[in-house]
Amino acid sequence: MKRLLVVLVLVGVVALFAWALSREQTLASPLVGKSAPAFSMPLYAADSTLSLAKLRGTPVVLNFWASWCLACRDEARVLEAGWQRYGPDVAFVGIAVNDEEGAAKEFIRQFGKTYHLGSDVDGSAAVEYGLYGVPETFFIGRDGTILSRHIGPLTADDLDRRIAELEAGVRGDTRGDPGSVEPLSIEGP
Amino acid sequence: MTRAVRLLALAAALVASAAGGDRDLAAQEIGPAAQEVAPAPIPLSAEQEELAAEIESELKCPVCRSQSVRTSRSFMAEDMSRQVRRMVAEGKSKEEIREYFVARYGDYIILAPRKEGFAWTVWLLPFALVLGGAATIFALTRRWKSRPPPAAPAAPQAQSTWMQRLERELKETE
Repeated sequence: MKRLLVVLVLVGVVALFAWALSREQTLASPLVGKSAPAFSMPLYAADSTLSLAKLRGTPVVLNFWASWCLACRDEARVLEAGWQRYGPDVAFVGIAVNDEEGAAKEFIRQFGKTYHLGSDVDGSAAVEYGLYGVPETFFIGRDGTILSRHIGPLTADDLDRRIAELEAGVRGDTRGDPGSVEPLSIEGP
Repeated sequence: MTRAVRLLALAAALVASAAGGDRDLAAQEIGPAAQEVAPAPIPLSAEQEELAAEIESELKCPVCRSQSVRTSRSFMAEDMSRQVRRMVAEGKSKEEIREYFVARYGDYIILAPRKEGFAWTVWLLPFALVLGGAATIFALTRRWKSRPPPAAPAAPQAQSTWMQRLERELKETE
């Protein structure tokens, strides 16, 4: 009886550790369901700035990326194809984090990107959105509420599903592949 | 042979590094490039510097486990540090700044768990385990001390009838 009790306690402790570890890896964002933090950024394509407030009333796909991020290359064409298909009813915005202007512009040219692309000059947007790494994508509803966050590179299916949720105003969850996110500490310009 | 062992050790170290064993080592290797991108630091008074350092020490770097924003050199930690300094310069309190980060990252971002609700177990459990262990050792020691001394070894059993017969016959032979 005593042995059984000891085994049960040990199993409980191990289960608690396993739960804690798995919980951390889901990287749930407390921002889902809340108002998207405001930001303003200089655009690469034009001598102007873009603020989130200007896009109020339009669903927004907000993607954090960097030219040095390999996973961002995987989703680069998916995002541009999404913009060609859903824009301008759905706004696509790309914020480059910790990137050099020349490298970012070369990335944009290489992948033929045409949607709103700018730079998080002082890193404040990354912190405002509780970023862990790139790529990460937030889906913001017409009323400015964050409906979901996708971690890792988007596939065409991911994007279609998320935009369907976005247009329906349905709140999604934090899905994706956390293992494929490139933490900002590992890669750099 | 020694060279082969060294090569194996080097390969193992590289694999461990690639697997994320030491993320901040990788960050240090790209440090100079990072500084080219990062904007200038926000100037603070001595008192504000102290407050910013205190807050940064209590915030976890989100991309390098178990390291504070203060000690990490990752980009994300630098961005967070800049945000802390910005808020301190604006006159925000320590609690307001903590709440700001918790609202964006969750309680995960606080290096030491809060002393409230379920989080109290994290603080109290180690003490409870130490006390429980000490009590168990004390109880076991007392039990062992109060045990009666082990009984004297039993007297040798009576010799078997075969042995008795053998001895008797030996005597008869003599």
